[in-house]
Amino acid sequence: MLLFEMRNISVKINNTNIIKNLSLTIRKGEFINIIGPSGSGKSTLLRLFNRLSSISSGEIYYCGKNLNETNPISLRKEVGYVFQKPYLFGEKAKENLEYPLSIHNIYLEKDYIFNMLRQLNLEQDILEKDCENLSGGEQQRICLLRTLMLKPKVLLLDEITSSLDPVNTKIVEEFIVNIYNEFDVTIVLVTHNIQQAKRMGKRTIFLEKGEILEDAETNSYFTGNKKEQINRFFDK
Amino acid sequence: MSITTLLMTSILIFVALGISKSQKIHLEKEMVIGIIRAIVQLSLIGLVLTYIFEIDNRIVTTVILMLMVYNASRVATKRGKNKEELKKVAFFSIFAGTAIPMSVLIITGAIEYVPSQVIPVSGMVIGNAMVALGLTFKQLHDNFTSNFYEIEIKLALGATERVASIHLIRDSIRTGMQPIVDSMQTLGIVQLPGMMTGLILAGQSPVLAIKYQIMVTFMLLSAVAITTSIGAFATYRKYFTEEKQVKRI
Ligand SMILES: Nc1ncnc2c1ncn2[C@@H]1O[C@H](COP(=O)(O)OP(=O)(O)O)[C@@H](O)[C@H]1O
Ligand SMILES: [Mg+2]
Repeated sequence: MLLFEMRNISVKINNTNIIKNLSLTIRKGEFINIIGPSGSGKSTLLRLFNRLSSISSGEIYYCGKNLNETNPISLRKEVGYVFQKPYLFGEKAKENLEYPLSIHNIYLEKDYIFNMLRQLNLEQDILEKDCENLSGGEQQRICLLRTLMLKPKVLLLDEITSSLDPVNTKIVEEFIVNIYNEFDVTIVLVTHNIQQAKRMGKRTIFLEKGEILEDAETNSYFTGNKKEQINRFFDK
Repeated sequence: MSITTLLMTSILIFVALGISKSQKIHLEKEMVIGIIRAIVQLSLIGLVLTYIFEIDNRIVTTVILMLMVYNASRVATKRGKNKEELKKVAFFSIFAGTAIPMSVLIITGAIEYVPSQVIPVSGMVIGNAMVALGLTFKQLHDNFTSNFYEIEIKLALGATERVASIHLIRDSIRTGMQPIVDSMQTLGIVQLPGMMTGLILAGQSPVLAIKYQIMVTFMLLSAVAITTSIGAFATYRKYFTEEKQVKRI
């Protein structure tokens, strides 16, 4: 089943085209990586899926419906986004997990949260801690959990391990893979690290200067002849 | 007080000018301009008020009040962006913040709708509402600038614009109301407000002056609360796009 379809979309900011005439489809249940150099438009592209950014031209369909006609609020509830930089609001960590539930009037079994915390290698008492006393890695894991409170159908992850050390990166990566295996979720993961891409999604889209240079199985990036730009990126 | 007496008190100006000159503060020129402007403006308004009080016409009074609200709304939005939009909101919120308490005062019989009463009392209300609204607008703007990321995270969780920014809206209302709440607490201890001083100097009993001052305090409090909350709730949407994104400012 087609979940997202982008048809010839462009994003123009201050008269520069950040995304250029890009087309792309995502099927339900896929786990896709978007990779590319910094400034290639990965975040901009990712933000289009939950309408945090807008297209200047073209069309996007979500479950067959034009994205322009969806209500951004209900869309975002289904299409969760985790930002690159960990940021917690409020005083205590738990406020971040309560917030999405309270604004949508959702009740969630405690076990769901405890189970998630365990998978994230976090103790339950972290919930009572002050946000500012948490390490960057802990903060980012709470951010991830905050988005998962709504049990999203789609998970958009924007370089969520870029500020984490290798240990935390490994925990988060394994968690994401578990979530993908355990739940009926579609994942789009942005990364600038090809090794991470290899450990994560099966399909990888290579973005450069707002255009798709390659859209193929992740494994294929490690075999055969690649386009020159991609080779250059890998060599770095 | 006679004109001669008033002229004699002008010696105080020379004290200030002398200090400025001898201490090289370089404010003499601005002081002189300020003094001349104060004298001219106050004399003119004195003439105008005398005339308006004499004709005692409700329509004229209402027009004057609207002009005062209009001027105040321009001052309150002096520094904001999107001025035209903001001015309309400012006009409406100061208008409501003035009209509601003034209506209560008139209905309860505390004051009458005659120019000699409504114009000075409204002047106080409008002036305070204007300052409070200016503070609220500025705080709202600062809050949206410095909390961009947090608002965006909340929107990404499916919060409405209002839910995502409610704490910032409330904070800006609080900021606008804070000075009046603070000054209420020191009223009579640190300062005798200008109106009360005026009444006492004009020979009224302190008891009457206090009654009026208490009334004015009630009035200012409600005026400021009404103006800042209408102002903040009517403007916060300008920081969002139609697609429920927070604007970069
Ligand atoms: N709001 C914006 N205003 C101006 N330029 C922007 C904005 N968002 C992104 N850009 C520009 O668009 C390009 C792509 O940005 P981004 O999508 O963040 O790239 P990536 O995530 O791949 O590093 C960059 O050149 C960036 O400067
Ligand atoms: Mg990015």
